[in-house]
Amino acid sequence: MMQNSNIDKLTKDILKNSYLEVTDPDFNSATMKIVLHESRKRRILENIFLCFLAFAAVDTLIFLVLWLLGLNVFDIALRLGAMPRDILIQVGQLRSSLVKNEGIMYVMLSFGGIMAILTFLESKLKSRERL
Amino acid sequence: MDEFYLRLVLEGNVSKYSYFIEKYKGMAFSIAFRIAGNREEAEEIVQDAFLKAFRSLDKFRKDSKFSTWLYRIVVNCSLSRRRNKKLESSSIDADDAADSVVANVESVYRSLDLSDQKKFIHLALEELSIEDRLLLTLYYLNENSIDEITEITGITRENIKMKLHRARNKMYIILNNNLKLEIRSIL
Repeated sequence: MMQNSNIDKLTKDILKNSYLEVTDPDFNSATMKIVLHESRKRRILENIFLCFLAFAAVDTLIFLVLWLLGLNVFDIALRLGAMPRDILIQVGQLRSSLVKNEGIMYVMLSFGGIMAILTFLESKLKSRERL
Repeated sequence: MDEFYLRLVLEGNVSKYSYFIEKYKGMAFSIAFRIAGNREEAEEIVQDAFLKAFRSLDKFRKDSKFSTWLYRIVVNCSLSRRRNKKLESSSIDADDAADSVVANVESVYRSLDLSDQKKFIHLALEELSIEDRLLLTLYYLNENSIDEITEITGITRENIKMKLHRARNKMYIILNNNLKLEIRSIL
């Protein structure tokens, strides 16, 4: 009577010959190409999302600053029904009220741009490191 | 070693993913081939599986081996490709292969040269059902434990044991028949 463990051993020996190799010599590079493409696609989406977040943060900050200065843009928009024009008017008024302090104006207007550029550069550097 | 490379890839060093491709492509290909039945499709399945594994690498729970997790993806990819194709089933009744069959296979098989051995085992596996050849490949070739096979295939432990036993017997019966035919043709 042949023992089960012996049959198992024999089966292992026999099945060792059923191992298959990938014959395509470019298989690794082709697969890595697909993976890297996927990775790049994901990073681009991440970058877009980060930029969007940065803009959202800057916008919120601007709204907050305006609110601290007593200007609620949403209220104005609801009241007058023409949001962009009225915001511009209010910002213009704000500008003229702050014109005495050009430093504050400069910081406020360029803060958004600087934030966006910094975020973009940071994510770009990270992308290069990854590759 | 897998954990080390896994950490590197998760930290953003994507090029290190090639380590996993190099290490597991052979076994992943063997599994995919057992289900797909042809080389080109099996290679596509393996590429697809590696990409899917990469996409969900951050979801990989380290409570199982990376290979087990990857092979499950390979099996799922292979099966989903085959979903529209008719699944063949072996009609061999193999509750028990007689010892004489196994002994006969052993003596004749060992007398063959390596290329003939490979030819006969591939022919025998082709005659088995997808599930049978997948289980035999995982258990005997890749030496996965029953628990790992449960994780890879989703089949229960008890079922795996029973199916493995039957698959092994079927394989011996097919091998025996094919080897007999070969001997007859030589004589």
